[in-house]
Amino acid sequence: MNAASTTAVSGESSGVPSGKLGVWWFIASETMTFGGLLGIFVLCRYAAGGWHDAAEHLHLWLAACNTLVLLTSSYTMVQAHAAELRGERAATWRNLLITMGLGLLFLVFKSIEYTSELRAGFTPRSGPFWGFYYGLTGLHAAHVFGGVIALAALAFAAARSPAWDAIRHRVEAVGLYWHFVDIVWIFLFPLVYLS
Amino acid sequence: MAGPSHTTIWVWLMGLLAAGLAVAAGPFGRAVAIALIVSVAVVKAVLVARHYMHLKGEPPIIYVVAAAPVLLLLVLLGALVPDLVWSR
Repeated sequence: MNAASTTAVSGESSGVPSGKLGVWWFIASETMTFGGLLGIFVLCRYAAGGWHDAAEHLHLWLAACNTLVLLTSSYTMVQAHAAELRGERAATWRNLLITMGLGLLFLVFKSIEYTSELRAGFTPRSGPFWGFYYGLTGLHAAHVFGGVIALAALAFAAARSPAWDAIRHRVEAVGLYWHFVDIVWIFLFPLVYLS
Repeated sequence: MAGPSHTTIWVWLMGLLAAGLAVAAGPFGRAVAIALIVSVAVVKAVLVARHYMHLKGEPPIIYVVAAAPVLLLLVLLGALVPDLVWSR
């Protein structure tokens, strides 16, 4: 391997490991996706007078519980990363597992919310607000689901893998993704449920 | 100098969540309430990005990658305002 390709793999020229820089690029592209959708939602909502009648049918307290769950999961995720940096494998595994559990709890609450709204007759075709609502929260929930799968794989590796020392740096990458998903919800919650 | 602990940041996030809910239920006009609620969301996002994503200790290239889409979004949304808002 020549010097140029070595630099490309390790990311030494930027001072940041390539894997970590890649995750940040991915987060940047996801910012465009969610930011674009949320921005269009806000502009359309403002132009249409607010859609307040439709928004009153949302389950505010379920969504507030989900905010609490996701914020707490970010806390346990950063605890997992801190434990990984200290080389404490059991604590890393434990915090990854708790974060995964909180992600699943978020999806359970979201399922309850969707079921209740669909039973009340509010489908994605019930109007522009509901189209945006299911589109935005559904895309976010899909990202949470993806994060839960990544956390499960990482927790399994932390518990069993003999190659843990070679892959444990992935805790930071998955953590960055998870915190980003949390930040998306931090904006989704007030703009969809509270405004 | 060591910054606030992760637990302290979590407590702040819980307090800001409560503050957002209190503003939504409070006696504010809709425009004021929305401005306050969005401001609280921005503070929460900054806390998570700085302390949990460790942005405060990252080299400039990470800031560039993180800020570029935000600037592009502002341009995109600014360009859409005349069509979506002013034309009504």
